[in-house]
Amino acid sequence: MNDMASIPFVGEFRQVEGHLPGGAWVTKLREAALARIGEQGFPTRRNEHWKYTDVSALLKAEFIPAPLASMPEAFFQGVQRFELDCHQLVFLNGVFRPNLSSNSLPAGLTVKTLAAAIEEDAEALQPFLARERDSAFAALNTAFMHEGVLIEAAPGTVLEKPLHLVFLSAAHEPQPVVTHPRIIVRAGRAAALRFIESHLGLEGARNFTNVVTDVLAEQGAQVRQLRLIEAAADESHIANIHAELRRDAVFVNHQVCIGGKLVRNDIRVDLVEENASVALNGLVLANGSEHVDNHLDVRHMAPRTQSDQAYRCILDGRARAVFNGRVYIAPRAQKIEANQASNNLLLSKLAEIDTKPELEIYADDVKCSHGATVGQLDENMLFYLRSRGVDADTARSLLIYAFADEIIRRIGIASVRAAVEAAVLGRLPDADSIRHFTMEAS
Amino acid sequence: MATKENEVEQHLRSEYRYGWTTDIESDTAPPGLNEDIIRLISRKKKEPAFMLEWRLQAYRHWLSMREPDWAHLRIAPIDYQAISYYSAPRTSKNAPKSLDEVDPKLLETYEKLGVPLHERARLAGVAVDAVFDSVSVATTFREKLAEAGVIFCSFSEAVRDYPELVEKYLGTVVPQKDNFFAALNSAVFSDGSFVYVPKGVRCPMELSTYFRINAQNTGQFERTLIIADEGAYVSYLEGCTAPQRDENQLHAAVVELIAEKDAEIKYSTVQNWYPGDEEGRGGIYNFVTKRGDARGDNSKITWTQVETGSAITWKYPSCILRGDNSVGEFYSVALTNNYQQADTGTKMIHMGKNTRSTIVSKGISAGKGQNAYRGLVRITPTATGARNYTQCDSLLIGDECGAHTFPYVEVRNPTAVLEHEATTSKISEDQLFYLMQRGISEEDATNMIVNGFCKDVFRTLPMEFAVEAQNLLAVSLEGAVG
Repeated sequence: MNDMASIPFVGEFRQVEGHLPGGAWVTKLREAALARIGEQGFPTRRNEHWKYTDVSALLKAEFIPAPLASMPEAFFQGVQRFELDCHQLVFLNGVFRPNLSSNSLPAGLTVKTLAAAIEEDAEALQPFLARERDSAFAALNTAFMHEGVLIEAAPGTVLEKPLHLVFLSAAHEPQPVVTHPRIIVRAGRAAALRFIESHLGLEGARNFTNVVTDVLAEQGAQVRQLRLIEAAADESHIANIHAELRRDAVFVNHQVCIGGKLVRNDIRVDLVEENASVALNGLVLANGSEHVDNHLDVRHMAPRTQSDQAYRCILDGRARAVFNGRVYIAPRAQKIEANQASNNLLLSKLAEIDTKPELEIYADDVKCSHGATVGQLDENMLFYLRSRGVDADTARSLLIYAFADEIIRRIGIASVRAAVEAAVLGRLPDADSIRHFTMEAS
Repeated sequence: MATKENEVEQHLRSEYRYGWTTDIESDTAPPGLNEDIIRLISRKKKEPAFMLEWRLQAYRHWLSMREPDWAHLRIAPIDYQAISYYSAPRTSKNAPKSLDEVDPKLLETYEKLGVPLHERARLAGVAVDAVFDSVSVATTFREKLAEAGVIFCSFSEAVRDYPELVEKYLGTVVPQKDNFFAALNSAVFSDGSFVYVPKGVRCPMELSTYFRINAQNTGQFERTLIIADEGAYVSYLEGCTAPQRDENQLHAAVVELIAEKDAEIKYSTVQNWYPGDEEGRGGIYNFVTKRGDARGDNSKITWTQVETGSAITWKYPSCILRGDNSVGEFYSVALTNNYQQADTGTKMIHMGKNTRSTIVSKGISAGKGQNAYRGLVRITPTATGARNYTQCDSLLIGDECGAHTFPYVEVRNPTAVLEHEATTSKISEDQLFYLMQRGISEEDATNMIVNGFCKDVFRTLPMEFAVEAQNLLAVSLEGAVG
């Protein structure tokens, strides 16, 4: 711990310490996390899980931890993609902004900011806070965790409206800000809830967001999560998501990545009891020199569990996307069904995709499949459209849009789906003509 | 149910059929590895100076390397100083001039293996360069090949007789420093096969080598180099069985293939080394580096392998598709039973325009076997119009085995089209039921289904090999039905 100052991010800990919530127990947790980082350091490309993603530039950049940064004076009305009639919590550069948030909590639902929850009773959150994690960035989050949300749905609570967590990131000078949001979701027996995590980078922001999200779905609970990552062009986003599913529980995670210089999401799902099921859907749209890396790790620890992974990447410019989907089936976890699909579209000469759908299976009565494709737009389809009088550019955009729509259409909330559709359209060439087409069709 | 389980266990315990050791005096170097041993090997083999220097370079670099640990394998520590790196049958001192001069005991060994050298060679029209331990003892059909201008000889002979060819091509596909085991091989390789097919020649027969590991404690470090010059064609078969013993035996071979413009090389392997007993004791460690360089335009390299033996298999026959329109193919059946472990697959590196590759991998796990497919398909920015199709399927027999798939796909060219498909499932109960209902025993039904599962790969083997492969699979799988 002597050379702490030389380790990226960790140096400022002593200055921030006083601003962080929690008593002695939490402090011990933070120190342990720091010690871990000190021992193991941050991943390099020699680490198999980081083979395709280089964080060395991120580690060299200088950031100011959120609690020390000043609050930007800015007008935030209308920056969001969609306005939902729902309970909404807004964080600006990692700090909770009650004045931007709305409160319409239904019965059976408890929502607290993490700082408040930790101050109240941190040890009650021990299974989440003290969880063993492989990632150095998750440990960094533990050391610096400051703000975030605790969502608890009481047994049997079925929420009509989704929750919306908005993380706005605004430019901060001279140093950009690093934030470590922590989200904990606990769904009691047979509870059902949906939540949206929007990470929006405002123009000019150069911040780094390092999220940790924990989900626990008790017996028969259903949790649906949508992560919309639309960071600014010069921002980095790293997320470690861990879901644990009990008997008959359902977890659905959609991830839409449409912006950010460096985006890395690790999603781990443990299916620990029978008949739990998970679906992980993802859409990546990257351009310029954006780098998006999604690592999925689904662990079937109990019999009769199901999983489905479907990720699609559309890459233009010099963008690079990485997909690593892993399905692990434990010994004696029989009657498993697991599917993985990674479909990728390369639109430019310099774009790159690295995909690796892995299976690790130790039980025999299983049905697993995985598929990966990389390609360009189908000449026959293009010809079909052109033969019907659609010009080449529009035909191309339409097909790209159709490719993306396979994932978008799985999003359950209509207004959100429409907003994501619009966001994706906005990134495509000839957006207007496609809009024209899709409007006519509907 | 109880009787059935007994039967199953009985079958699973079926012992290795080809297990025995032939008692032949060996001229063996003391265990251990140092520069003196390498000098000894080189001297014994009367090698030119460049060869010794090449070996020493490899050895010095090997000292700085670590064993790879990324594979999905559990490997007991290997004591490289406990291995003897040179062993030659006594007969090598006055080399036989014809088959009659070969030690009758050796010939007997081949008989037991079902390789009646003289007969088989004539009947099947196959030239056999049989490698017994480390030094070649018999070569047939040399003349017929020589007529066509094909050079097919042991590696030591090639170093002696064609040093300029060896110096030109050796290590150009698998460099000395390529990986830990390749470096070790480069330092101490004992012998192997050398093939050179000149311009425009279609090799008149299938070339075949039967390996056999014999003397106790002798690691086998084979080195094979096959060169098909412009427009040439050659098909090479490699097959092996080994005697039963308790001690782990290390085998670290290197195979280099070079296909010039319009040339085609077909390399087929049936591997049935001692896999260890049912407790997982003993068995061969098979750490092989195989790589083909499709250097010229329109060249083609095909790897076919049937891997049923060895305690541990670490093997990734690869193709570098450098020439435009070059083709790489990989067909593999890997079977693991008892405590066998296999981590095998391929690498297809697309560099030339319109390069195509096909990967078909069938993994079968039974007992407590662990079977992993590990493959890489890389499309570099220069590989415009590249195409890859990959299929890797796994079949699970029994609830204690494992099947794993680690496919890496790296694409840096938008014109590439890649498809990767994989499935993992257990043997279909419906299919078993259907066959058994028609009076076929469970055992035969399983073999039929497994053979059907592997058909795509067996199809690509030369006929005699396909038959042998099917039999091997049946033997290795006997009763592994649960």
